[in-house]
Amino acid sequence: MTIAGIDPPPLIDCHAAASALYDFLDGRLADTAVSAVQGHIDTCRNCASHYDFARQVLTLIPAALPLPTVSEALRGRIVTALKAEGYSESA
Amino acid sequence: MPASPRDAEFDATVLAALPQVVRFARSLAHDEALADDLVQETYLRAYRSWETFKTGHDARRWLFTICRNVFLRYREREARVVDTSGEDAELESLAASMEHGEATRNGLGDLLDRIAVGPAIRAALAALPEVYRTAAILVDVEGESYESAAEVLEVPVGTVRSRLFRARRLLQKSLYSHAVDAGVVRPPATPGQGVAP
Repeated sequence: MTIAGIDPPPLIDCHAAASALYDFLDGRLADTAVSAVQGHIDTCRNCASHYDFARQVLTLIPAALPLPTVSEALRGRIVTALKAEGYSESA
Repeated sequence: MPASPRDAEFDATVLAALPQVVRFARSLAHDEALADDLVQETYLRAYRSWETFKTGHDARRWLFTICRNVFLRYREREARVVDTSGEDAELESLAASMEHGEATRNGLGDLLDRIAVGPAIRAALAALPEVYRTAAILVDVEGESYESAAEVLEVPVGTVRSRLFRARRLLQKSLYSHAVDAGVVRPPATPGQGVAP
């Protein structure tokens, strides 16, 4: 049955929600599937907890590996090797 | 001597990505000296084949591809022995959810607030087999799309997806183990052992 012509999201169980976890978090699900997952995690505490945990971990990963500062020694070594191939450094 | 237009473009496009290439090489090699060698070799190869690089394409992705190929040459044996059979993205997600349920029951639901997350994630990523680690670094650290990562790794997009999901599941498990090792919770008592008062 629809209300005002809008179909309710399809119902899915914990198994289906679990299987869709990373596709959901990576934004790779179709809109209908997103609604179905969202509908499930809105009402399932366990699945909501895992979705929240996984989302937090994915957010924390980039911060755990910040861009390194490239040492002058390494940069110099690369430039020297490139110069042997004919490279000339910008002033 | 002023740089030639070719070298000036190489500077702006390729040398500018040096920090990202260093991070990627370190994540592959786990050894700073080896990573530096990988980076130098990557830049030499990039310079030698600069003519083949198409202007407007993603130079970072091109460099990651070269860097990984250089690394695989160093580590050919390991790359061949890692068993990636049976990879299934849905099963990995499902297993991750089940493991989270168990961890929550064991008092680890809020572990991210109770451990030093950065070092734990770095250690967990470092412990991943290379095929999984590379997928995670490309997508979860470098922010590449599945499609771009597939191009770098020279595998189908579905394989990237499976490897990425396996990597994340293993990472999650490592974080639970780290929390237990750090004394955030006591490991569950084994049968036959009394519960300490």
